[in-house]
Amino acid sequence: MGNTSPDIYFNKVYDQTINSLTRFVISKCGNILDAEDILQNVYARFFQRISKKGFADIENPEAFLVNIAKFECKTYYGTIKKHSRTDSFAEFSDEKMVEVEAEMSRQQKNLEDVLCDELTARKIFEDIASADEVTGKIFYLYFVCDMKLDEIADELELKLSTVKNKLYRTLERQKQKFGL
Amino acid sequence: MDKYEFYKELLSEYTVDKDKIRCNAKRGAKHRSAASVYKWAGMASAAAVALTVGVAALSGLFSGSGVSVTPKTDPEAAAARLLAAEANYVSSVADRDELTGMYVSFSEALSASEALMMFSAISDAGDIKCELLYTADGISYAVGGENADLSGISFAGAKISAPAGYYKDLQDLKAISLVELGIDGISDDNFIPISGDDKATVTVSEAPAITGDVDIVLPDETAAPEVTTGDEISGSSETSEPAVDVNLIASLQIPGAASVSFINNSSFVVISSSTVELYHIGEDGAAVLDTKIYTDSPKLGWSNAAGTSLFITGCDQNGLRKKLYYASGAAGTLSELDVSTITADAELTGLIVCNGDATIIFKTVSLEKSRLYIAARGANLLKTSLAVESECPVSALAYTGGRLYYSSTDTATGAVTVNVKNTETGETTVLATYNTDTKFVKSATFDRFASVRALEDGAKGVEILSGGEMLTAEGATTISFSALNSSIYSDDSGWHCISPAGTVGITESDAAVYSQGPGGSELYIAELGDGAVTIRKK
Repeated sequence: MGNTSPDIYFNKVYDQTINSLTRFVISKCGNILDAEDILQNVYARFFQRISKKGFADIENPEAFLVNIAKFECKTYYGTIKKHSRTDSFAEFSDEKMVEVEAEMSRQQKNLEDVLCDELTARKIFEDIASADEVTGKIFYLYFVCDMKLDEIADELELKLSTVKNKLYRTLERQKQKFGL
Repeated sequence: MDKYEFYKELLSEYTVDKDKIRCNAKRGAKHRSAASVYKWAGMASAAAVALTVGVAALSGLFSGSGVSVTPKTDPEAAAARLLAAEANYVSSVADRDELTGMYVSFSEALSASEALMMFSAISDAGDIKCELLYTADGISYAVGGENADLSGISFAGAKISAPAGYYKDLQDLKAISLVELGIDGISDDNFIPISGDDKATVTVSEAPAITGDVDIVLPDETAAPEVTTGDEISGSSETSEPAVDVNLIASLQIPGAASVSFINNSSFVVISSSTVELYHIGEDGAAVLDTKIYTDSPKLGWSNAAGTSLFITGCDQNGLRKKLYYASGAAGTLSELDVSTITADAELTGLIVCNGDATIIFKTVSLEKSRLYIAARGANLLKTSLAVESECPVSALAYTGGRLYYSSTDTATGAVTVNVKNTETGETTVLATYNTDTKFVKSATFDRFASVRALEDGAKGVEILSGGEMLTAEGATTISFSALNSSIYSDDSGWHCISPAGTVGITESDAAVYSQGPGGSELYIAELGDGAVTIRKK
């Protein structure tokens, strides 16, 4: 690796780490809509660092990038304080959750068409991302990262019932709103 | 395709664009942080910043090398100082009350008296001490010094001492272009105000390269990471578990909601960043919107001790604070009051109502003059009369028995006089003159005040208005009036009561009955969080 250019090294590290780093940033960011910006800042810093100072001393690129990501998440949000929220809707019943679960694995012909319709697909995505900060993260970690609900609850420091409610309630709402 | 596959593909596609991230990262493009996108009115014209400058400013900040204050500023340097100032404020003093040194750049050149007048536009302006005035070249002049002939000199900035919490209020003033904290490199000797010309917009480059020797110091580069949970990152919200709340009356989503106040048992006012809204709880227990007023930057100007009367100021379409609204708990109404005659050439600042006779004291400030008006409020109408007009900063202290007590600061010497104007005869008398640092403590009932001044030996001395005179409170260095009765006050030695026969000590329990705070509602409580207003039964 001694004579590898920064460009080649960067590409290699990027391909190896983008998925795990995306998952890390998604779980730590305030809103998944900010994730792309934060990741871009992380990798920009990384590229500049290796361009100026080299990379021979970087033993674990993923660990190195995670440190940058932690720093970026903190500076990106400054000192925005946490605010408590109060939701007043009732919990999803177990029967209802089972019903929603069953629907998830049912083949639907229109879903591919929806994906191909960029305008509609974008609306569906933004409906998830802007519901609240946590729902978007739950969706990403559940569907893209294939995490289990209890793992997501641990990752986001939420109760399992909260994760379930947000996931299933959003799925149900999207079904009504977009005909999914 | 099933829904699992659908959502997997949807979220993979739209959450992050991995190719774009790779490409832009190598080109050096970085995004401004959410923390630096505060829309402060004073810097609206400098909102667009070149990212190269932004990176340089942030690197200077976090590497500890301080902000570079160049002898000659330019738009890029101005933008860099803005970013650093914002970051410094957010990270250092946002929640603190102690006096902090701040360096202020003016939007345009001001005379000494204009500069001091401008600072008096901040409520409780006695807390702001202007120490130095700076010319555009960075030459400083002491305010109130022995050879303080500041006439004829144009000033571009100032060094002030003020509570840290005033930072944003100062930044909001139209006459101020930038407020910087006295940390990270800025000092009395090297401060140079930003030129008004340097506020010109710098165009945003979509993907600029990071140029120059930008040394970004990363924290703890070789430490092993904690990839798992446990780290608190600001910005992520915690969500309480949804549960049935039998006491929940309403959960209102009001973007930018900043305060909520009950003005009687069932009516409450919500102030957001752009609206003032009045609701009442109906007989069916639902929250009903009665009145919604659109105004820029509404601010609660005054509330009586019981919280049943509110005066709220707002900005007009030009960003000038010239709107006044009144919420009446007695009537359950929210309405606008016409103050156009007194705000023709000035903005509203401090606003006080004397309990009992519904007399309102207004203060308006322009660069040339500071004015105090006395107004009688009746049926939403105001009958105003000009009580004091001065080319020096003035501050209303108390109004009682037809006499208006106010302080006036001599811009040349810094001396503060306490004056009393008989509003019936028009006669004005000087009660006291202070040549050292002086603060005033006003009672909530606005019929008494005290001065706390620095003495020659470094101690503090307190004088209280009593019987139309300023009387020394022996041994006192601090003072606080009770909420409901200004004759009851506490100082270093305990609680006291002022009576015609003199001042006597009383017990804390006797004083407690006069310490009741705002009443709110006996039936409901209001909570505010994350743009949501929640009303619950008590």
